Amino acid sequence: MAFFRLLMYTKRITNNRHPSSQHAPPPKKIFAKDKNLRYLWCNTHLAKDLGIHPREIAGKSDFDFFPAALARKYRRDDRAVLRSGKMKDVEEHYMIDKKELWVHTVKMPVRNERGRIIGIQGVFWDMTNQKMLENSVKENEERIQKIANAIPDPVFVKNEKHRWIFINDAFCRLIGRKREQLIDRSDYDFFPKKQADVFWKQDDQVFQTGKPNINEEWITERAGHIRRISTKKRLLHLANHTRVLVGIIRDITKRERDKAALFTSQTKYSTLYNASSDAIMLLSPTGKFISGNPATLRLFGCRSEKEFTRCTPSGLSPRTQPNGMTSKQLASKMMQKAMTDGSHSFEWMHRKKSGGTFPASVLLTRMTIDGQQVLQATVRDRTEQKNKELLIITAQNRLEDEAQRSLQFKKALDSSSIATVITTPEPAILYVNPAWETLTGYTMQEALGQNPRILQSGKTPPIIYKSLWYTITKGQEFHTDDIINKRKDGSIFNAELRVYPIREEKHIQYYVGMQTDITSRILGEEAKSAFMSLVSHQLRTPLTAIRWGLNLIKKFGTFTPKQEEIFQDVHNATARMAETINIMLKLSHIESGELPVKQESINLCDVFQTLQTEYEPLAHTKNISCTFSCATHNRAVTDSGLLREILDNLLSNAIKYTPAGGTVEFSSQCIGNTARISISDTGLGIPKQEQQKVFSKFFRGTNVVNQIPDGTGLGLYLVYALTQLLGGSVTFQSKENSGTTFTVSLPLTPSYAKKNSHR
Amino acid sequence: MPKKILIAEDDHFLVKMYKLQLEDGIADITVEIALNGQEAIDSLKKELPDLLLLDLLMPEVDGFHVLEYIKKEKLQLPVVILSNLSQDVDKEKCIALGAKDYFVKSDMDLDELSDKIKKFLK
Repeated sequence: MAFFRLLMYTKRITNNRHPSSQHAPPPKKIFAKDKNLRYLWCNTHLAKDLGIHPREIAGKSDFDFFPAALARKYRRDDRAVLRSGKMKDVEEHYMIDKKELWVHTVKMPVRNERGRIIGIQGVFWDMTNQKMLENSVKENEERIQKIANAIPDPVFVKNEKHRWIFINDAFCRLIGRKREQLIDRSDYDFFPKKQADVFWKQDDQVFQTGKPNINEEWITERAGHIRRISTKKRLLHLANHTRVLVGIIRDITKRERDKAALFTSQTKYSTLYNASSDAIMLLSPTGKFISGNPATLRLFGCRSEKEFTRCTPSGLSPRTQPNGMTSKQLASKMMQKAMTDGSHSFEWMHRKKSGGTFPASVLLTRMTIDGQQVLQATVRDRTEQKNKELLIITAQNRLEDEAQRSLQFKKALDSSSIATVITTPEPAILYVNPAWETLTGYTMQEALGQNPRILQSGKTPPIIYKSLWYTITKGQEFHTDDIINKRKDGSIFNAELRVYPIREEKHIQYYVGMQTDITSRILGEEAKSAFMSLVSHQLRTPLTAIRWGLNLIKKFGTFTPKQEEIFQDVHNATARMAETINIMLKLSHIESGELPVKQESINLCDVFQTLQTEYEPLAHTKNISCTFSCATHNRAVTDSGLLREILDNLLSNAIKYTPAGGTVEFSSQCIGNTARISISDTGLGIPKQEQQKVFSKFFRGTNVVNQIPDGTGLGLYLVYALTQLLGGSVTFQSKENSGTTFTVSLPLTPSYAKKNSHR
Repeated sequence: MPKKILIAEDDHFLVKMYKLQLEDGIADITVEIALNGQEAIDSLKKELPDLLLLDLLMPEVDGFHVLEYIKKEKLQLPVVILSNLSQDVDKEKCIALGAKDYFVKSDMDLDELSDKIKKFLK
């Protein structure tokens, strides 16, 4: 039994340790010795080694077969087993006749029924070949690792459990960890879950389909910097039926930055790039396509820009050009010429993706983007124009113009006085222009990879940022005057900020932020507003004296009817003047953005009922029938005071300009997120030719000025300004002598994007 | 016992008109005038009136300071602001400092003023 156990054990360890050496296992030599270490038995393999017949072994000792030193060592080992009763399992290295020898030996005690040790059994086998093989595998692995480390691009190998089993130095650098920390770990240990999910999904795709895939994504480095990488993953079958995934990563952050800068320009000058009927593309000086406009894709028959950028100029040409040179040689010559001369134009035979060739005119122009030189190529298919040489000349001129203009894309951005920043969606800064550097005090190098949050002073109301994200993540443009930012040196400035989300294939790829320093404008507005407050106060004081003086004259005197009439007119004039001052001051505050707008949750019906109790009696004294119908039971988030002011103006106007016997109707309804409040009258109406001026300052209808001289001409302008402020709008329909309907549309919940709404 | 009204107002014309209106229009009152904030505080130190009509923009010590003084000394008297400042921030500041009401002078007639004062004296 003990012998069987020994065999099973050795079988197990030989299999476990050397899973790859499945062919011809080395012969196992087995023996048994008694307590005095004399051989009792051996198998034929051992006997053969010793040069004897198995039967001859009985009674012999190690000293009969081996040099004394070796025999003594064996005896020591045997005694240790006898003494301890424990199994001994060793790998040993010998030098015999200058030859290396590795031997694996297992020895275990043999016990009788009572458990007493009566001898030992052992098995050993030569494992020199295995050892040699292992070493060479190890050497190979080291060599592969060295080669892999020499590759500047990050390389990794993952097993089917998504764990890294092989990585090179560049990969370690990219992740920012040591090899030991990475081996046998997975994406989830180093990337945010969302990112790791994506990576695993890509892996699964490769494992399932067996097809390689290429993906571009933003990753977050350990230091927090965001980088754009392109990863190519392909499946690899290993000899023993295991499948692994080999990934090669290219860091394309720089390329992306260039692309982003260019892309913005392209957006601004979309007519040129996207709408141009000429194929315009960008190449690296080494002849790799960076981008191509829609016309380029059409010209070469590429389905996507991605497909196009995988091609090379010579790949999109026949093997040789008409002059006999190969396309490859000639193309690099042309590009060199363009790089040295600034621009170069020539005739070229091109080939479509599908195979057909066509003659083309090519204009190469050298450009610098982000300090890196690129070539812009404008390619025009000459097939249809061969007979129209004149047209070509014109076209060439145009192309040159366009090339010149596109050179100015980057220049425009760089020389723009508007501080401009381009970020990833995260957002991490990809590009800033010199104006941005000047405004903020940060250099491009300092800003790259940072979150634009570095500019936050903590003084901008948080709701501005909330509304900013709310708007731009929906893909809409955002504008505010309310940013208070901090420079690198800590100084504060007011900024007007516009943010444009830029989509590429449905998803937002970049944000472009443009800001201007409006500190002086804000200070100016504040000063103007303060001045207006003072002026209005100074006007009011004598006005009060006039008004109160009139009150007292009336109190202490008696008037003839004529005097009484004049007195009334003067008194009304002073009241009107007071009203004008009030409205002017209010307008000044609205215009300077200083009028606070509250966000209160109110019940619209409550507001309307207050108006009803106030205006119904007023209408009845003028013998006007006044009806209120309120179908809006919704709550609205708005400024109730300003809403009251809007409706006060419209209602008092309606009653004022409706003759006795007429009607005024107030009604409201809710449609979606909008409350529609209408005020109709059967009054004097607004002459058709004056209708476009209704909401301008100091407008009064020519048909009313004589009949009803009271009026500042500011009421409707105020209504207009206030509805804008509340994020709504006001419209009207009117017919002279039959009536007017004003309709105010008001959002039930605030629109975050409105200017001034959060001061 | 006649009720005492203290009027803090720096404009002489308006002072005259207040007096004419109030002394003639409301029975059983005395009117005392303070031409600036300091005079108003001095008067308050001597004797508390039944009502203080307070202007805001006055030389030396302005109306806001008077309100702060009243709040600090915990003086118990109704204060009504009569000013030609019309901004909401000013109104809110005065109400926060304890003023009972706030009127813009040029927006009201004297009879309206008498009615309001009578209400506060009740």
